[in-house]
Amino acid sequence: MSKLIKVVVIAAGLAALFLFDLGSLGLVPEAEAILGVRRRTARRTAIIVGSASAAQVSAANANAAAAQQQAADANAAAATAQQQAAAAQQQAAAAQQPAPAPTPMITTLPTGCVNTGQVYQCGDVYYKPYLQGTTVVYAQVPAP
Amino acid sequence: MTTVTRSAIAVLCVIALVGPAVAETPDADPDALQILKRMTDYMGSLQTFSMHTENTYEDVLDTGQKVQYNYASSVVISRPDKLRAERMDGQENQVIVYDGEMLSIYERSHDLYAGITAPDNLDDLLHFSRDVLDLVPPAGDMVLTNAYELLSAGLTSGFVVGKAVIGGVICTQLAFTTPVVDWQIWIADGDKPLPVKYVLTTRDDPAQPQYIALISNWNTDPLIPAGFYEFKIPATAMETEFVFFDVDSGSVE
Repeated sequence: MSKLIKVVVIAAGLAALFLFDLGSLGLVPEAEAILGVRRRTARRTAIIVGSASAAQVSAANANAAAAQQQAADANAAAATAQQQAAAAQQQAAAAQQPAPAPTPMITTLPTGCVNTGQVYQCGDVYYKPYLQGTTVVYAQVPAP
Repeated sequence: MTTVTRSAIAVLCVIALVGPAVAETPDADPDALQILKRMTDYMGSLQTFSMHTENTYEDVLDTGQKVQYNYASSVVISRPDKLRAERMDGQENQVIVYDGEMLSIYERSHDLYAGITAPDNLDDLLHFSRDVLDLVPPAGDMVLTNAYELLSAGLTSGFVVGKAVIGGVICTQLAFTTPVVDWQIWIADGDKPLPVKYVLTTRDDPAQPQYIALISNWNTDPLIPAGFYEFKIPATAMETEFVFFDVDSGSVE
């Protein structure tokens, strides 16, 4: 057997071993049938928390600034996670990445907000809507 | 090199090539795999098609309680790079358009829209939508051109459950398991082996939440009007953006 053939055979064997391991390393896109429904479960649990907070604010008829503060408190942990997520996403960023959210998000606006065409004005506080998947969420922004 | 050495190398290489494949061969009924592959091959052969889905998914609250949510979607697809869908869940009512370059959403209930540069083919778009935007296409697994490869990857078992009738369609029910997810699929009998129901059960959560899709109104040759895949921005709509979704943290973002 020539040296060339030996090298080719061994290389083929090693390549086969490596290729068959790619799936277990998570480098191949997976089907929903593999991933399951955990993604949506985790997300919805977080959103329930956000919605409850906003509802409490509305029930108390708090002013817009107070509502924003409570929402921010309720979502503080989510904000930290979001910043970590944004950092992780940026590390893996390709050309097609959505912008990271600028501040903590809420899922329900306080009562009495007005659509200005660019943002929602809630008293002295302004919110911009975003799409998280198919869900509309809101972040506080400076006055336009 | 001796004959023995040469033989040993040959055997090692054969093991390297065949061994992992044998180890990963699912302990699944070949009949079930054959029916699954017939469906994915047929789906892969369709160039333009439309369907309606009724979807139920379960969330597990912090208390452990399970809550079900529902949404409906109507989807039209033209391979290799066009999609238009309407999605309704009671709170949001959305038009989703992918034209091969941009993915755009108009959210009717809030009168706002967002667009983002997307991959240039449907397969990559589906992965991008799910993994980056958290837009999980209903029954998206079946639309992928390498659906069989992905669906059969990591199977630990599979068998033919039997015949069933879903929405008046006689079909064959298959059940599979993977290390984390149990899934079932109902595939129409006859010359159009289309999926009509799809159920995922996540087993690594004690509550075992499920996702269920009922797929109906299949049209394997729909008429596509001119401009159907063009996203037209409604005059009054507010422009917005997509934000990240993190799988691990499950955070609101």
